[in-house]
Amino acid sequence: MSATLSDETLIQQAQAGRQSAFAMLVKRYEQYAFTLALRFVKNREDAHEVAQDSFLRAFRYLPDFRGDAKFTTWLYRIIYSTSLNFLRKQNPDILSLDDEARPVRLKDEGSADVSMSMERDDRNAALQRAISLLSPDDSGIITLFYLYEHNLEEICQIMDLTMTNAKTKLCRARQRLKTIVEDKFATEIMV
Amino acid sequence: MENNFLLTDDMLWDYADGFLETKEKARVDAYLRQHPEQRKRLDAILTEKRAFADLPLEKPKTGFADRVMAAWAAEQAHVRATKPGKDWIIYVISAVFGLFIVSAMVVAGMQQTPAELPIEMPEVPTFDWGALFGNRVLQYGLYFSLALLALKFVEKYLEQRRVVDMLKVQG
Repeated sequence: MSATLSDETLIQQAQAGRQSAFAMLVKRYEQYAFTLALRFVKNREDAHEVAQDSFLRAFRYLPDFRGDAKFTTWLYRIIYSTSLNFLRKQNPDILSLDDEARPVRLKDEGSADVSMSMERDDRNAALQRAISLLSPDDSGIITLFYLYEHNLEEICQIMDLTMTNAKTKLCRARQRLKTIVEDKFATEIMV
Repeated sequence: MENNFLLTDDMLWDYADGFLETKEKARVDAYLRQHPEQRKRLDAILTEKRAFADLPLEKPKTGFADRVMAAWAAEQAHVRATKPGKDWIIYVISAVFGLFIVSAMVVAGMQQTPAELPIEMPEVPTFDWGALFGNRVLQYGLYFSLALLALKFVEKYLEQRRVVDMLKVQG
């Protein structure tokens, strides 16, 4: 029965102080939050920390959430800024997640957490790997648009972009992904 | 159909993503009707989009949600322990009663003057303190506020202990 509660209902209950509503929101979005955080910070341990901090920040500021935007848009905006702050703590020179002069690199480019049993899994793993090799902004925008199916307006709110910038970024991210796929994963993906 | 219309990959992606204006979309639709063999390019793009959409989400470690809730509970407990809240009302009432008692004791002491003094003391206004302290309402009010004060101190102590224990468990 609890699985059918809408985000709006859970948020109202959480704003009224019900701990179970908070827990349900976390359960509902933990994978989305972790995946997006991982796209930005490129490391699973760091992504856990960023995702947890993002949920705590979301709950702290939940009384101020008025429902003007979707809860996911608001949460992902928090994840974006938390990721940026996290990366800046590690490297104060980083200006943005798309800083080509100071790229955010994978901490361990040799390993890949993949399941190799079936052809579809190989393709998915290769595509995940290719996306992880993109810059945080590129992998983030591709995840938000194609995987999370957010529209450009929402992405502009999440990543603090104009519509023109968002379109350009998406186009460039696709081109860069295509280059990575053709260079490194052509046989696995075969798109 | 225009002869110099060039359908680029970027345009096809914009078409697939729904970014084209109505007029541009109509042009692409018309071009694809005229050149059905070009639909393969669009189909390849749609297949790529489906590949993105079908990507599985990354899973955090088991117990992630529980850890978030534990951290949230600890933060809430800390906020409650350090927040002054409405306790100041209790403290003010207790302080007023305490001041009242101390004043009464001072005045009562001043009234017990020796029979002869080297200098003439001004007359201290007398008051029937016995009647005042005999007033049941004031007595019970004093006991009540003192009891509330004691309970508040106990509550604060227990809250602090709980936060400390929780932080010790989280390590």
